[in-house]
Amino acid sequence: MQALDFVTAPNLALVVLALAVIGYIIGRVRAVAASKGDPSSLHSRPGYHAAFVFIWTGLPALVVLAAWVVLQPFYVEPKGYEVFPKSVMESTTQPADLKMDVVKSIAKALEDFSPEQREKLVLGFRDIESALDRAGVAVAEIDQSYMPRAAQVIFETRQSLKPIMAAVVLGLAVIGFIFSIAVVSRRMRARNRVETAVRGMLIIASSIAILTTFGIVFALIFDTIRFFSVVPFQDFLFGLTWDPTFQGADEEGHSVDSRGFGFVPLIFGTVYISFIALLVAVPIGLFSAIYMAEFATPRFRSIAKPVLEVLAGVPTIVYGFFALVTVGPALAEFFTNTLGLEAQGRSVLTAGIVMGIMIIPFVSSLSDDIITAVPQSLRDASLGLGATKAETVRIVLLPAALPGIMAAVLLAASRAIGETMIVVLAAGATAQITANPLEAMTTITVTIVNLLKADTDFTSPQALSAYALGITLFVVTLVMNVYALRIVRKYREQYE
Amino acid sequence: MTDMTTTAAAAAAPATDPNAVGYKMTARNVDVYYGETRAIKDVSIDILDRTVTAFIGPSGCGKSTFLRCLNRMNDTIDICRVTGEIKLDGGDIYDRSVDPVQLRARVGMVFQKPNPFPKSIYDNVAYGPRIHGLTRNKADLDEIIEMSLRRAAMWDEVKDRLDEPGTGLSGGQQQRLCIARAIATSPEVLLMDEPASALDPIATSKIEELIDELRQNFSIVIVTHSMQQAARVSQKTAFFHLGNLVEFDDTSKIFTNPSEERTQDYISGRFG
Amino acid sequence: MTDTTDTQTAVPAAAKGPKSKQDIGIGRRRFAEWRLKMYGLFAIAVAVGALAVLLYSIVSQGAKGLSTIDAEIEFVYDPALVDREGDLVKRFGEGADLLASFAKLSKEEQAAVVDRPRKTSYRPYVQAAFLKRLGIDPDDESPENLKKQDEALALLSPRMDVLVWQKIQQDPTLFGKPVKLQFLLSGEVKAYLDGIITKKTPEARRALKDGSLALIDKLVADGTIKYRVRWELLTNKQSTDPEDHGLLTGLIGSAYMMLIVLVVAVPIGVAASIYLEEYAPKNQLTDIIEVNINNLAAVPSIVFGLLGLAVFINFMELERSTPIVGGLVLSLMTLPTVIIATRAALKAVPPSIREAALGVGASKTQAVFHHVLPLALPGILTGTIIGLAQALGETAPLLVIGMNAVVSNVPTTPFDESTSLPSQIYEMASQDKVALWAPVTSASIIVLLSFLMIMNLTAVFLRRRFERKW
Repeated sequence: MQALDFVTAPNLALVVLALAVIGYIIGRVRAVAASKGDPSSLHSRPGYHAAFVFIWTGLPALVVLAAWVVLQPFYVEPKGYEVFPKSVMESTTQPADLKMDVVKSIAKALEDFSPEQREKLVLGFRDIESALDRAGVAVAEIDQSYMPRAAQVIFETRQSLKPIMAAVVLGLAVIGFIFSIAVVSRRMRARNRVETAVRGMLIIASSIAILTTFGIVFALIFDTIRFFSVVPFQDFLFGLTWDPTFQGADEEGHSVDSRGFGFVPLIFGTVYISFIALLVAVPIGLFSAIYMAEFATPRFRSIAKPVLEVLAGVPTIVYGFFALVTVGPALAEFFTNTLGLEAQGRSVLTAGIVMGIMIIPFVSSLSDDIITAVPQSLRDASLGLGATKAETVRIVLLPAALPGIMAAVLLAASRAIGETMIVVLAAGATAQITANPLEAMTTITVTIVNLLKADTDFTSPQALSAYALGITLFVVTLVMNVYALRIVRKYREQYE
Repeated sequence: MTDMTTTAAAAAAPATDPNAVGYKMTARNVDVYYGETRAIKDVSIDILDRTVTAFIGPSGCGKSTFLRCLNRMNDTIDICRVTGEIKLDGGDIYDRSVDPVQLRARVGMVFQKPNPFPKSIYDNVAYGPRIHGLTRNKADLDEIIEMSLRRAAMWDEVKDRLDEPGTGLSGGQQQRLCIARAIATSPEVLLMDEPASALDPIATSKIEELIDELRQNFSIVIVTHSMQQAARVSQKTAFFHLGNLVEFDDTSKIFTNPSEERTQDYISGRFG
Repeated sequence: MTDTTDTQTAVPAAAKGPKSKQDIGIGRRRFAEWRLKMYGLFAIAVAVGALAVLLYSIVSQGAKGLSTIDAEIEFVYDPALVDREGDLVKRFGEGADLLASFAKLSKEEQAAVVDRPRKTSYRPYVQAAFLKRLGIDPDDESPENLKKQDEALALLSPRMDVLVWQKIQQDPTLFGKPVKLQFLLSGEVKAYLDGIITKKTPEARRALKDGSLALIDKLVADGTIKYRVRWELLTNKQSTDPEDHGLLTGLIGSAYMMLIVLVVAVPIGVAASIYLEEYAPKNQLTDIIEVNINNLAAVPSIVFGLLGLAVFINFMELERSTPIVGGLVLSLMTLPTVIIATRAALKAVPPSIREAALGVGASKTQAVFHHVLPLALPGILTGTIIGLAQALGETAPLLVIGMNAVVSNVPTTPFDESTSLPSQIYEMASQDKVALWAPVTSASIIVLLSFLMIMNLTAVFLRRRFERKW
């Protein structure tokens, strides 16, 4: 058991890396020796030979190791499912994979346990309950009829795979090591081969960006599907109440109340707050941009432009605090004492105004770029006819720049919809639909945070609903961004 | 043209009364600076009414810069500074009381590259009259637009598609549209900065014909890099070199018997 | 040209007729221009004004949070107090001199002895020492004296028990000796001194009654209460009370996460940029990658948090609330920023440099790594620092992966539970007693903004210092 404990993916990686470093040194020494004192007789410099050995020793082994880690669950989990009773596997209200998450957390805890504790899992479960709890397992969720057994199966399968993994990975490293050292010679085109490998790694690096997008989509889709297996799609999309307090299905697995998962109040709050933010940011941003682009002296511009951009650099949590402590009470005081209206600190208006301030630079910066990009010849034509600068802006520049400005507004809107910290602190958490901007309201982002920030069980429908909200947010903002960026791109090409 | 020769001979240092009848614009001792660089050096020149005056010279000689001084388009460049005196009908155009916006309505400009607004043909031409409030109603405006397009010799080509965008026309048509746009405000002087340099020979010849027609009503100043063009369309020619006005005289005299050696060298193609 | 002749007659009329109208409109037109300019200036003034109000509000409140007050009071670790469990008595017999016998114990045994009593056991002793200092009899139980006691004890921080306990843990030799201790006063006392609550505040709405406030005035007058810089903000762990709350776990967590971003996002980002800028053929695939990167930069940050939760915590089974998860999430978020900045820097290196290197027989890879990359380095560095600054201030994804938890142990590795600077600020801002917490929250924001400012100024400096004009 001791030796198996050492066999973990990070440890194996370290061993492989150590071997690769040794290979690097030996490769270099061999290359220098092969040159027989005449460095120019080598096709490639010794450093390339060394790197060649390093890559052959380390790369294949590490790639296989990474693949192993990713693929292992697909072999291990079915073994665990075999232990699951039929009723669990066929339950429609609580998918079996929710149960599997609990089982996996037990199996993970087992790795740190002593052999005695491991034995007790099935036989004397009570004795190790507290130990499991300490290891972060949601003990209350454990169904003792099958879960400990399934966890043990998974744990044992994993243990049995460890020696094979170690053998494969280390074997690959050693083979690569021996092969690459053997081929070091005067004529060997080490540089070309190393460069090919470098290029391959560069390609992999640039594919990470794509992988991230896929990762987002897949991660969200899987859990969203799990969510919709519990809550019907139409109840989510058209429901008018958001109050997810129910605790999953009852034991028999029927009559699930999914009416608490209505999405409408959340999107309403999100759109309302974003709308107020745009109401603040668009005029201020646009007029700033016009002034900067057409009227300001270079000196004024060189000072004012960075100052405006500071607004975008302030972390949103700071805006949230500002809204909560300064803007909210000030607005509440104004509306209550001066206008005699019922108002509170946390409201749609507070969040909207502060968010509007935050997105000013998103409107002004891009609009400024866009207006500046309108060709000088159009300005000359208008001024040459005796138009004032204001007329030139209004009649010639703005219409020409309109698509770009629309894109800027769209990007700012997408920023507002996805913004979290300001609304978490300043908009409140009441899911309701009302036109009164002095009321507290909640948004998609606030709901996601509130569902997940507490140390909850990540397999409950509540937690899963966060993924459904997340993918909605992702899709909405993605569409806006793609569309806006395409407009900007077309616009730039037009004037290039 | 014979009566002009007397005034033209004194071009480098005009001695005649600048306010005499026939002079539309007069410039005296004009210097233009771009930051520290002196781009125009002590230029004095008279622009006659209902005459085409051509500015020629190698590229970078300052002819375009000087042209842009005549309707204060240089004001739009921050680092540009103009000293000396330029008068339009006897009034100093750089006087503080003069609004460049109004000046440019009287001294119109056509640019090197055709630059129609991304609007309809009608709106392009209507732009000037609208911003200057030249018309009382739609009928007046329609009349001005038809007249301007006719004088730009393109009415027949576009009268059925006034709603189409000006940017959809061919290069030569675009430039004539820009000319129509410029004359729609009824300017007194029309400045043209190499108006045909971006056009093909056929379009160029159309523009040149047009310039000759427009001479009936306007005083025209044209900057050109083509000596043939200057010879074809202008009555007076000014030769600029390195920011100096080298020679200013009747076109026929400049091209047959220039008094300055540098002019002779340029015309015969020894530099430029 | 046929149409010109018939219009010539109309020219003078059209040219002269409306000309007089030009002067009528010019005043209005100039006013319209002035108006537009004023709108612009006003808009800029509003934006700059909002920034100024924001900074003023943070700094004015934060200044209060950056100072703290001490009251030096003598405290004796009573032998009976430390030996509450009776270990020493059992060992050395009833009536033995506890102090002398304690001194005979080995270091480990001493530590074991002082470890026995619970934190709360110290409370009566702490309170007695405090009351004595204020001249109130701790044992007199008459009603008026009890009221006095309550008024006085309201000044004392509930956290003082823990501090006294920690002190003896660190140095068991203090046992039995009188020590001058800096007594921690409750957050309300500081709030009163800072003017957040005043005597005019209705008595029912404040924790400190009039009698307590009078006591504070007395302590200030006799010089017992002293102001000093609140270094504990940086060295203390989280606390349930504002008076001894500190950012230590958050600072460590954020530092680890920045380190991970530096190690993960920067190499990958630079490598990706090199490929896209120097090697990649211009085809549909690279076009998609390009669009994809630009979009990724605009994806709401909370979505990255969900990605981290699903992939790093649920799938890869990394521990929740750890800097490794936070760091990886922030790395993915920072990647687009690094790539966009690096590509711009690589683009700025003129092709002549590449040609020169290829001309002397360098391979393409050598040309890129030996010549282009070093020349682009300042630009890459600038972009990297700006990306790091963005990541440092990011909060929403960290809440989703649980980095707002209260952490009892100071994290030592990136795999330990931790918090982060911005998520700690979030937790402070969401406390119920907003007014009490506002100063320390603002002070924490000042700490965060200072880091951001240093990073951004470094970026500006690098750009100014190494910017090359080709």
